[in-house]
Amino acid sequence: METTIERIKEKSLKDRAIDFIQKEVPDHMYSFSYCMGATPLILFLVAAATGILMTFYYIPFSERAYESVRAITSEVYLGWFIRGLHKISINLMIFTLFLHLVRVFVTRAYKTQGELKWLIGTMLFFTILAMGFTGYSLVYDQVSYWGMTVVMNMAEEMPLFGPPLAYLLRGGAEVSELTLLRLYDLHTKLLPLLLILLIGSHIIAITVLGFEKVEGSEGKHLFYPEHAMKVGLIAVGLLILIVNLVMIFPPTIGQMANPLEVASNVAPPWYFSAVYKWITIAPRQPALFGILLFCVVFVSYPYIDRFLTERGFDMGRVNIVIGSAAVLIFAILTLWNVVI
Amino acid sequence: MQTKDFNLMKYFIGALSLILFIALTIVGYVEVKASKDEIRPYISANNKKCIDCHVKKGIGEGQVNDWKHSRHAEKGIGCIECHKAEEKDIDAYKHEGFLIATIVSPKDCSKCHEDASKEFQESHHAQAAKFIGSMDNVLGSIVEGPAAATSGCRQCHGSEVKVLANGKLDPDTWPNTGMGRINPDGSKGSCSACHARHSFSIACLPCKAQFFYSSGTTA
Amino acid sequence: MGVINDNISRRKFLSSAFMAVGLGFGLGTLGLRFLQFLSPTVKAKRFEEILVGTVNELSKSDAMPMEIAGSKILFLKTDAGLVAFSRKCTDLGCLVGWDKAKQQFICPCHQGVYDRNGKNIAGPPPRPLDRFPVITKGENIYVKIKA
Repeated sequence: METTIERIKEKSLKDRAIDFIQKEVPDHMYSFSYCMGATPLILFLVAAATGILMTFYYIPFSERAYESVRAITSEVYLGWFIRGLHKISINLMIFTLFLHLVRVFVTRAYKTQGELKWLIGTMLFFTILAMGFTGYSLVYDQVSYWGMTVVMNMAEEMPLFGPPLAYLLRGGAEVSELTLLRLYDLHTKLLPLLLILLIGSHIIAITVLGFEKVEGSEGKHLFYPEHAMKVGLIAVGLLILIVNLVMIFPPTIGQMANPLEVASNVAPPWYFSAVYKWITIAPRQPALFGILLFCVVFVSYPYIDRFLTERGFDMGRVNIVIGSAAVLIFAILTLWNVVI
Repeated sequence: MQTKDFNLMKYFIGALSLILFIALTIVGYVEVKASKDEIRPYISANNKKCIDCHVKKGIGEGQVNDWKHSRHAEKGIGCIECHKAEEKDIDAYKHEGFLIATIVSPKDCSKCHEDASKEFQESHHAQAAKFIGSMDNVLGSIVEGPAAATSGCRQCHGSEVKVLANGKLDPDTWPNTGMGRINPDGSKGSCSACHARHSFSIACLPCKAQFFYSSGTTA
Repeated sequence: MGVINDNISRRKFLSSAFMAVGLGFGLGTLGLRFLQFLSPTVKAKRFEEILVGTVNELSKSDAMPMEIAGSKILFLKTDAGLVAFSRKCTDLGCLVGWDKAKQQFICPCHQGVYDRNGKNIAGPPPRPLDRFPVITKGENIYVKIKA
């Protein structure tokens, strides 16, 4: 006991903080392709800030929800700007997230000792997609309403935990105003909390576990000020990018949700298009089973990797092949959905 | 560990931030331009009933929108103030709990615009429909026929609006915004011939010029 | 490790200062936009004469409460004619009601009392009820309100 306290007292808090930010970062981090973890984080902060701002105007109740979103988009001072920032930062964030995922996968950064980073990462991935879904549903236009209904029904079809989960999410047997309220709570309170915890753990895991060694990179440089400056530069650059994108592509709103009629153009946001296409072309049960299987393989991949490496597979090559195939299939399914 | 000089990096960050500042200033400019002048209509409880139902059913939305941008709207002069009718009016009918008349004649307008209405009634403009039954209109009513007169001459000069037995307006005589229209209440003319409804503010082109511009008959 | 370094050169100072100023402008404006979003510029209120009804309509009863452009008003036939009283109590803003039997305005919050001319006769109200100018044009009655 005594020695621990003495050891803690040895260094002041200020010195500890300085030590923490002056940790070393391997030189391969100079390359942008390795910095794509920071990009989603910056965009997440923008999304969070604009999201919080919008909660000052949004009303989570059926028609009033649509009205309030419409008001934000066309009446509230700078409403279009804030909503536009929110939409664009989210879309860009999910896109760079995919890039980050592909990079991590292809470089096998989850190799032994690094599995925890991967596991937290997959949780983050699912949580962010959930945020995307819940957020989209809050607009309560045609796409929101029917998207909600379809996803709830999909959830219900899942084996075992499906029906109770769907019941919980919907707040009953059917989509109602309770559903909207629950999705709103998820989107603004529960999921953000989870996200912050996960992001924190993800960063701590990286700090503690370190970076996976990359061939060809030998030296190290300081996190602060070097890497931090670089991230700062990227952050400001991103801000300029999204501010300009908002002015070029201001936010729009579709028709109000009509529970009695499905609009012909109901389509999920692009990041769900691939999954959507998959369940459209494949028969029901196998399609859902396929998704579940994919999720299981996805989460446990480091262990599959370890298993196969021990059996002699060159996982470096395998990952490149699987990674490329996955990207290709994703792109094809997404574009197919958009074009048709 | 080399002590690197981050000067270039810092200048970059500073410069980019200034570009961000410029971008955001443009955003502010775009916003301010969009929210300049706006009319603030005042809608009373009764008028709200009219507007809500009409907008919901998609009937007369253009009229409602015109009105909302008018000076009348700012002063709370809405649907019921002009369209309300009394029991003794022959074109009055019950509509959703209100007693109204479709036609708002110069007599109705004179409730507030007494002087203008009086001057108009005494003017030659208000007599515009008079000639139609006379020999002056031989070319129209007799040579070309009543249909030509209804869709041509009367559209500018004004018809004599007739109320049918069932209380509805004779479709041969209404709609009509002719300058000399003879209204069911006896007053002559239509203010909205020049002060286009439902915004009323600006007097539109004189009838004769309209005649040339429209695809009306060439009598 | 040299993070806190007093021996900063002019070059470093300049670059740091430039970065700080730039960031200040950039992020500052972003923060300003966020703040502006939350607090839109209050549209300047201006006086407007709003049509209330005809003399006949408003003579139907002695006291007619109504809400016009956000302000709650009570039309009362006083000795001096038709007056449009504001129903906002001059004490702390509660809604004042008209008691026909007592011919008084009574505020339920702190029991303020006004007589039929709007003068404060009992309770905390410091001054008489506010009035809105009533303008009569022929048959029509207008009220001048800030909207």
